[in-house]
Amino acid sequence: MLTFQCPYCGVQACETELAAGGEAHLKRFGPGSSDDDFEGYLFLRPNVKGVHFERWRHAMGCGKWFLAARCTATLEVFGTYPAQTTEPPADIIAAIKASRPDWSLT
Amino acid sequence: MSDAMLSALDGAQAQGLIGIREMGLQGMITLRADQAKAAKAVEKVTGVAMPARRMISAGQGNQIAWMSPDEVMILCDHAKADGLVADLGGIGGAASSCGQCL
Amino acid sequence: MSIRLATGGRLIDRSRKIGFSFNGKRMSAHPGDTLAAALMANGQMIMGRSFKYHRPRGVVASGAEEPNALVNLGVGARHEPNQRATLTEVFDGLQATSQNHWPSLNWDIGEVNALIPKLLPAGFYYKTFIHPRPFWKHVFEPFIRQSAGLGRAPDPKHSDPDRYEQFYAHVDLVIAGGGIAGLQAALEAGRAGLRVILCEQAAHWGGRAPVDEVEIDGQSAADWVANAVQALEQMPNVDLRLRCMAAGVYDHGYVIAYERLADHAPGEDGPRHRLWRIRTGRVIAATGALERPLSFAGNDKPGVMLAAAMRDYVVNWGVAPGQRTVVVTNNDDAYRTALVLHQAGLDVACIVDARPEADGPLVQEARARGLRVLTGMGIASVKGLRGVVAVQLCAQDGKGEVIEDVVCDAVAMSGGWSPVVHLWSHCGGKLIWDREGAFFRPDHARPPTDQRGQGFVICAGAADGALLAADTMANASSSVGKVLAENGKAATNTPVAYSVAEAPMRPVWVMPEGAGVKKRAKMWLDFQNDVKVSDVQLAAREGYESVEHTKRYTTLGMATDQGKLSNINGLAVLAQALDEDIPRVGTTTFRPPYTPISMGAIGGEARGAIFQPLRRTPIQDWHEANGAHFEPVGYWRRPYCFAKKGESHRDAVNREILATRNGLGLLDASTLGKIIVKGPDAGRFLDMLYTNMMSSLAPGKCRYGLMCSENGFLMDDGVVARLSDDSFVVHTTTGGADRIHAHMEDWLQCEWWDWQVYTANVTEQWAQIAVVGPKSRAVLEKLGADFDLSNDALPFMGWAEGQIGGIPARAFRISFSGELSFEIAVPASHGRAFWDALLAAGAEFGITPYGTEALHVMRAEKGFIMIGDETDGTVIPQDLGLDWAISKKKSDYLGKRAQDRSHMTDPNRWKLVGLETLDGSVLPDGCYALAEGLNTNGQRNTQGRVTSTYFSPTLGRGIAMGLVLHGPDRMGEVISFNTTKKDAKGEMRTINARIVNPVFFDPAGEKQNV
Repeated sequence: MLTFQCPYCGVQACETELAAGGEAHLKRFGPGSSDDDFEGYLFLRPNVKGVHFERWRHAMGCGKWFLAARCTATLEVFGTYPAQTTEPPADIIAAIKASRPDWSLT
Repeated sequence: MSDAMLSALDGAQAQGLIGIREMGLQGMITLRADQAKAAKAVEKVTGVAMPARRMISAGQGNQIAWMSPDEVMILCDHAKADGLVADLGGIGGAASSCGQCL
Repeated sequence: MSIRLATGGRLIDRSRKIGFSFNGKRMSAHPGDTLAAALMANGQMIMGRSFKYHRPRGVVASGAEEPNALVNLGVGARHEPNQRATLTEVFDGLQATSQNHWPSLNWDIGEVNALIPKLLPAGFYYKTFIHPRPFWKHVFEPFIRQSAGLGRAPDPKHSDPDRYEQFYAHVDLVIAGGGIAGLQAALEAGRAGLRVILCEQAAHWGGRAPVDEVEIDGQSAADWVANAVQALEQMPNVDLRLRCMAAGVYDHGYVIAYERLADHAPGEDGPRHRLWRIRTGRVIAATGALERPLSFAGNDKPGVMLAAAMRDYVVNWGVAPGQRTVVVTNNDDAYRTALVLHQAGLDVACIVDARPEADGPLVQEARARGLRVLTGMGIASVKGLRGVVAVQLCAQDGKGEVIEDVVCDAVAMSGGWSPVVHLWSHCGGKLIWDREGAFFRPDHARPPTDQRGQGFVICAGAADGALLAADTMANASSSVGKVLAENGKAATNTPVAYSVAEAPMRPVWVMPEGAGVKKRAKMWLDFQNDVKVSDVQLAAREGYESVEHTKRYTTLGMATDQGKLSNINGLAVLAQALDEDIPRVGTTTFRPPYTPISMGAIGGEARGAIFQPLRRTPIQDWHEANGAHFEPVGYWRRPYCFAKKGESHRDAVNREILATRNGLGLLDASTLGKIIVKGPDAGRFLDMLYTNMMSSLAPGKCRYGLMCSENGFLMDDGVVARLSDDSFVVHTTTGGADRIHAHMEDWLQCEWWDWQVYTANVTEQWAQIAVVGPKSRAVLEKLGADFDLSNDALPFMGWAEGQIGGIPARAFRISFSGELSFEIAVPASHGRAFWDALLAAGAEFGITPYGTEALHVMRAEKGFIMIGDETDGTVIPQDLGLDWAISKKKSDYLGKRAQDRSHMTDPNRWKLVGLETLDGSVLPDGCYALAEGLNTNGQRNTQGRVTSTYFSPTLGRGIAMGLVLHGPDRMGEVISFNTTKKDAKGEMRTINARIVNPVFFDPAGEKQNV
């Protein structure tokens, strides 16, 4: 029963009041893109066993989408942040590195 | 013609360990706006200051409930709701009450 | 025979008697008795029958780990199967019956299984019933199903009369287990000011310590426990709960606890069970340890039980399971049982110790009291049919040659102790094998971790492997000390516990060590599922090397006790058979709940009318009062039709359609989604969401639009109306509002966050009523509108607003029926009044309320698609002839790229057509258009399928829409469809239908344009 802090309303939200939204920071490919790029956008996911960036919506709360950095193996949550960004912010990256020194974003 | 207005639970009541009674028609206005930008105008129209995060502010018979960073719900007398919406129309956000939509 | 002793029993009140019945026989007990103790007090040792072989079973344990003594409790609506007699507190009037036998407990026809054990080894079902294949469905399964199952479910005609509730709690610390370790942890945590819940599954505090004569700080354990409980009751930050089991530990500190409020006093006011849903910072699992049986031939006979359980019955309940007992052991602790029995004046025939030497302090005490101690010995077999009459002794190191017969009526066995590590393991805590104690205990280096990556469960006391009282107490203090340190606090008091020291134990996994296959086939590991040592060895021989596979193949550990007494013994036998180290074989996965919890507790108050929220329109009361037959649409209940008295549904639907097309119909359309989209970028945003161009829609106009997913498939449709330059109202299908609103917010928040658009879901703020038919304008004009409703002022696909009948209204001229039609939105509070006013004014026009079925038929008569019928998640607009709705001017919209893929542009995709059967009948729902030949699976090839099918009273015949290969190019062609019926020859009957234009009625669309 995961918990995440919603960065918008500040509530420490339980999984049951959230709706999961899959991987974060996907790059959208539209008309004119290659089949490979489009397939990657729609379907291909690295499915990391480890640090994962994902989308959550505070469905039974303020209704906002936020992003979370979470370890898919241990369920450690490194932090949550607003969804209006194409990449994880510096403080989230720092929190991950503090716990997983060998990890890097790329 | 007909003036009859019904509230959602039509005045339902229940008595038990505690008593519960439907309050009847309530004015509720959904206001979507940048809260910082809209604060002055909202206070002018409603007489109530914008609430802090997750709070409800009250005054002048009105209340403003924080919903999300860009949404509040204004609670007021049911009969006054349409008028408030019209007054808020000048702010540049989007307000809708059960009376009218913008 | 088992008897009640004349004195003793610290948990019973001898001054009072209560009555209960077992299998119809009246018996008496004392308050404080468990059912197991009371049955033994009445000389009833056999309490049930085992699952597979139907062998007679007596009680083996004294607590939640009991595998055998499962009974039916209660009658009628309160009947509950599979209740453990060891945890059932007897109350006056309790009714219990035994399970899994016919015709009676003592004479069971199922026992025939026991005569052919050779034919029923592990893997029996899989190997025996696989051939011949057809026999499984018609012969084997029905027979097995008949004799299968443990216990009988309550009669479905009874509904559960009890209430169940759920509570939430947020605390700093959950302590599971009310023995001395749990109590000590609670005292320290409570004094430090933490918010604590301490839960104990039994009805009494103290655990094993009072029975095992532990001393704490000079007090008896019983006194120390009483004082501790009193002190804890004074602490407002500590919540004490008896009869409350911590059932499971879940992610991020979530704990489920199961509190049995009224099982011991049924029928009283209040809920029967309470489920605690707890969010905690830390968990201390002070869950103790469980004794293991020894594996010798005949160890499953009634009267053979765990040694500690036997002394529990004597000390706690004043009950002697036997009057002349043999104690068999591989450790010192079991000697406590011999001493307790002797103290109570009972005969201890001998103590059989498998170790070559035994001279620990307890052993010496036993000898000093004149008890006979035999070392290096084991039990070769147990004599007796329905109980114990004697045991045969042998050398532990031999093959089982009988040295001596010993007459006795009970056997107390102890194979060692296993810490209860379930709560540690549920969320990923790992175990290490302790060689000295021959048990698994928590590996402190690998605890379950929380959202901060920190260990959040700590085991304390015996659960951590600290079995001796002094170690238990020290371990408990240090465990709670860790939690205190995290909170910036320190322990204030570390009591010192004392119990008699013990010499080391010796692991004994098979008794005797060299026993042959005949004996091993009678050594029970899992008493409930009838799994023996020979079964596990068979599994190893057949190649099942993983303990998880062995478990499923043999069913070891899969019964209601989930292997609490059998897991370690079983995996040790497996390890030996594989010649492998025990820790390398490992344990199976521990899963919540620790012991079974009721479905009622899980359901809580979500039953009956409040199982699910119900959405009601402002007109719902009228529908209910006027004969509506409802169908569920999402959380709404919409009228399907309004059948008059004596009218069938089909007749009602036909009447509603004809009345509407010929005159005037009325439909409550309030359930349709309504979303405001407003802002300078609103048009741009809708252009991305829809296949159509919406930014070109003029204020005052409406446009039917299609929404596709990014994968290109049609996901919703609806009419968009432009309210002003920067504002639109979007209609969605019923039940789609929340989903489409979320879809909109997803794209606005996560992709186009710099666009200036706001959305608001106003579905429930507006009632919406469709006024439909040739007389629709007339009835509105009769009500009186302050705006022009004429065709010139308000043409088809326009909207206008003002007041109708004095009620503020916005009228959309949209038509789902193909008739002249006005969908009128009024504020929800006016909805009912508007409906009533329309009915009154429309009476002279024969106004007819109609439901969803008439709605569906009328749209099908016009060839209009419905989301969910013509679409199924694999259909695109181009399949449905809706190319006109796909803008060629837009460079991008959600789904555009996907629709460029080769599979989407394949000319062989099935396309929408109308279908008319040659004989006028109605095509069956979901039937397929047949093509020649068979596919590689031997199935008939298909070339289309039916998506909607109805009887049309307007046309007097069946009509259908479907997707057919090259359909639009094959107008007039006749194809055949399958049915589920067979003809006289036993062959499938088919129906022939002609491919036609899907617009069956008024193809020029004249009726809606007036």
